[in-house]
Amino acid sequence: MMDIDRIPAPLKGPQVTRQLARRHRADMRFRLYGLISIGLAFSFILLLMGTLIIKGWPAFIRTEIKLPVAFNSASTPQDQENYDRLLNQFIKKPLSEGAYDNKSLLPLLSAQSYQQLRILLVDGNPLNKDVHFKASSEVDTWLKTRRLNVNKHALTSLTPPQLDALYALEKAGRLCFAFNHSFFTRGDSQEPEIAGIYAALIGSLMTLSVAIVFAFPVGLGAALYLSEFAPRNKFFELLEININNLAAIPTIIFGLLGLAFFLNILKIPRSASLAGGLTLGLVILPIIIISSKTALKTVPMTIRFGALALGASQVQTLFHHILPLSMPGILTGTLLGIVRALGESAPLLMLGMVAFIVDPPKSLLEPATVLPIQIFVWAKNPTAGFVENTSAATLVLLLFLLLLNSIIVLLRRRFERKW
Amino acid sequence: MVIYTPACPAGTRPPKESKPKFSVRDLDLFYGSKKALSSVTLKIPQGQVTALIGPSGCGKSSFLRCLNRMNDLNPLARIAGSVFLDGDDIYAQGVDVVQLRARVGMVFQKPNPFPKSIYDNVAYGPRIHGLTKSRHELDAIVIDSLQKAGLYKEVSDSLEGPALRLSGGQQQRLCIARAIAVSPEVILMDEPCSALDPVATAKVEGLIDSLRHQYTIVIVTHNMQQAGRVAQKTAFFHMGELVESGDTGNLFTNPKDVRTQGYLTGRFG
Ligand SMILES: Nc1ncnc2c1ncn2[C@@H]1O[C@H](COP(=O)(O)OP(=O)(O)OP(=O)(O)O)[C@@H](O)[C@H]1O
Ligand SMILES: [Mg+2]
Repeated sequence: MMDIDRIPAPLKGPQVTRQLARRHRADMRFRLYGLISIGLAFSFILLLMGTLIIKGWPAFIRTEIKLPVAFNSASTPQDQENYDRLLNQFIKKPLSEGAYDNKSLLPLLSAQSYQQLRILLVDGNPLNKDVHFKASSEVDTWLKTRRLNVNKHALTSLTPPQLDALYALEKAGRLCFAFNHSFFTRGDSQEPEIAGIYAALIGSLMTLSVAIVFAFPVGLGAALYLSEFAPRNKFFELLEININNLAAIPTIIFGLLGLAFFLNILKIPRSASLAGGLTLGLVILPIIIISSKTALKTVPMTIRFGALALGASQVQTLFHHILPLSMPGILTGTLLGIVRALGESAPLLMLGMVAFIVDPPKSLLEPATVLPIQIFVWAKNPTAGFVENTSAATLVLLLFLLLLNSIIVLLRRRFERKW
Repeated sequence: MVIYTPACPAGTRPPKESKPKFSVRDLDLFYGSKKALSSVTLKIPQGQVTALIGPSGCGKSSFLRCLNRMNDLNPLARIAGSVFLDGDDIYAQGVDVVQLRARVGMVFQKPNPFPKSIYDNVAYGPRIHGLTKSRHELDAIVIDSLQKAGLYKEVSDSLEGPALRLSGGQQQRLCIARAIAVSPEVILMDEPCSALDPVATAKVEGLIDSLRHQYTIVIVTHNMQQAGRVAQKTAFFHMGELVESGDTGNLFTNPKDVRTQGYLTGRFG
């Protein structure tokens, strides 16, 4: 029975209208806050990308000097000195006679130019044509300042005679920009104009592969056991709390662990991508376990009941129903882990992966470095050329992340469209 | 169209006593410290339909879940007493729960189809038990099960469509089809018709009646008329106790306990 005076008043009248208006205003306000947050987040991302692109894109092009190579001597020169002498001749040729002393012209070319020349002359055939040689970082910075209006504050250490020579070369149309292939095909170098990210990229790929191959099966297995099979008792409760805590531990601690265990006990060589990968695997293991467990938990119990009541075993229930349904969530969690591993540098520093790596590692046991550490090393170097390299490498890292992201999104789609 | 045919008019064919399929003795069930069933003793006869009735929350579903050990999945649930299936204690050590559940099928109170195609839902049981040798046989089982559950006509041209896009009542009938596709010995049904319209209800009741010669059926229902129409035996539960059980006709016309009388006349529940 309902009391007469407890029947609510009908939803009418000015008071109700006022109240409704207030509620709608609250709605609008809330939406506005959301929009503002999204806008802020988005503009910060744009700002970041913008800065990186503006700072980094000049690293993708490099100044080259076109030199008239004329060689018809019978014997190919043997040592660097001879090649340098030849280069000096070539660079002098387009310049009108002047007071260029021999020592000032050669530094306009990149330090590795003699190697390029050696490769050209290796078969001893006479040669007579224009060849592009990479300019030194100083020249590169100078030309970019002139033509592209970047690096305005860079100080140049070019001497007046060198500058004269450069003006002359420019007038002769012998200075030009070209795509910087070697940024993607070479390892680190002391000279910014020939330093590249190839070695670090390969190192990153190797380290990351080791981390995934180690952490994904182990993490997924642990999550499956914890969520589907583990009995509910104090031990497993404690274990779960500990796993959650692991995810919050500063990663440098994992580096210490890797140093003590992988390097000192298992005797994996220092700086090897195997040690780095295993350590990163440990870093992302808790992330994968926690997110996979969460994904498994979101599958409704009624699905499990339905399968079990039909006489499916627990493993059948798991593989036929629960795993396919939670795969998108598990993949997203794994992506979080991978992204984390790709950007991680602190634990790898502990393992000595900050070594100066010129050649990409050929095996998992060879010294390697990774992109974030390469960026870190370049960022410490104040030379204008390395500042460009830093931003460009960061751009490549971001592109790499984007690529990984898209792969996982595609995989997710696959699983979601299962039927 | 025949809206409703009484599947087995009471009295036309008095069910003869046979060896009980289930024999439950002094069954207690606890959820943590809460007692959901207290010393239930009941025989469920073979080849007949037994209805479980009683007010909401009295433990009907809990009792049903004891019969195929679905309560094992609830870590809180604890059980005392014994349940015999064909003379074997299903709670004894060494009993294979997977096989038990293949023998004792279940239709849940809330429809729970798998998020797969209609076909795959019904075919799942036969597939995991390896009941068929060819796709052809499997097709036959799927179609037969769907027909028995009265769903085939509605879904015959969308067998590969997602099961979750069916209506609530269609989903429930799909779950029935899914359960009978493995031809269990016993089918436990927890309010299978609560989401169905009268036509579909009549179909399911017809199905129950046609199945009962082959299978043993235990059905939970809130609908007294339904219990009267389909069940030969009825058991009345109240607050975790089995108050009274017996032939449906007897129990309805001649209840011995005051609580049964009160429930049947609608004084509580
Ligand atoms: N998983 C569970 N955990 C704890 N308590 C439970 C659980 N399931 C049921 N109960 C309790 O056990 C008692 C019996 O519940 P049950 O679901 O068996 O009732 P029911 O007779 O099927 O009711 P209804 O007709 O509403 O479906 C209820 O008091 C309920 O709160
Ligand atoms: Mg119930």
